[in-house]
Amino acid sequence: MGYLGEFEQLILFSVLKLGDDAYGVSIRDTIEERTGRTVSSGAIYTALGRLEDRGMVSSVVGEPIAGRAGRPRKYYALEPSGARMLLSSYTTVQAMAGGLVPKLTELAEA
Amino acid sequence: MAGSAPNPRGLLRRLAALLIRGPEAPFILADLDELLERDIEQGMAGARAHSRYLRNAVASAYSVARRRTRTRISFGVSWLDVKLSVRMLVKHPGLTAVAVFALAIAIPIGFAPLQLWNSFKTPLPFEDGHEILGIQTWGLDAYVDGARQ
Repeated sequence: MGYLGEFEQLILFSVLKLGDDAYGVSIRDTIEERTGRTVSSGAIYTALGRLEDRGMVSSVVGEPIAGRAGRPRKYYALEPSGARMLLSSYTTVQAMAGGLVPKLTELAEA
Repeated sequence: MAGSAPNPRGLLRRLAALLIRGPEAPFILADLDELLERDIEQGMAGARAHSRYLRNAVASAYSVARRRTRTRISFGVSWLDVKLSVRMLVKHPGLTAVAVFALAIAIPIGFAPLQLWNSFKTPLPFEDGHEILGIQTWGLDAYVDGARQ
């Protein structure tokens, strides 16, 4: 059992989309591109650290890269428990929203 | 170039390194560097790129510090302990008032001996004040022709 916040869901979806290239900058770019929301690098690593503690993602430190002052990237991968939790969170929201979107849109536009 | 004006990028990096702490700090700083390099490569003006870097660094420092204080404030006091304590104080305003009043009385009482000690240590506000050992007054009636009776 557990709970996934909205931001954690965004992070996990980004990690899923990026596959082998999921690290701080690419995750930030994906969230910005898809939601229009700018997030800080620290917020991403904080959420990833929390998710890693809960066993939902795993990380691997890559090779040092010249464009990053010689520092390596830390790549993240979605673990089965993270995938299960994300699927459960997403389907829960979908189930709750089922048939309500037109009504919600109508209210929001009023 | 070298040795003349201070390099703003170097200063920003140093400031970010001071602000962002914790085990993830090297990766966050490297991400900040990568984003800065990319912004400049894409033709963004230096000042704007530096301002973006600074905003990201400050927001990152805030996120990291917030997580660290949430998990562990100090000496094994958790964020939950703090939250529950504040909630209890709000729930029982009478008890809170008594506690604040007791502290308001106890703190000055605790400081009074120190203040007294300090007043003995500092010289009196006169010329050669440190040489004055005592002050006395005599009634003039006790003297006849300048001699004490």
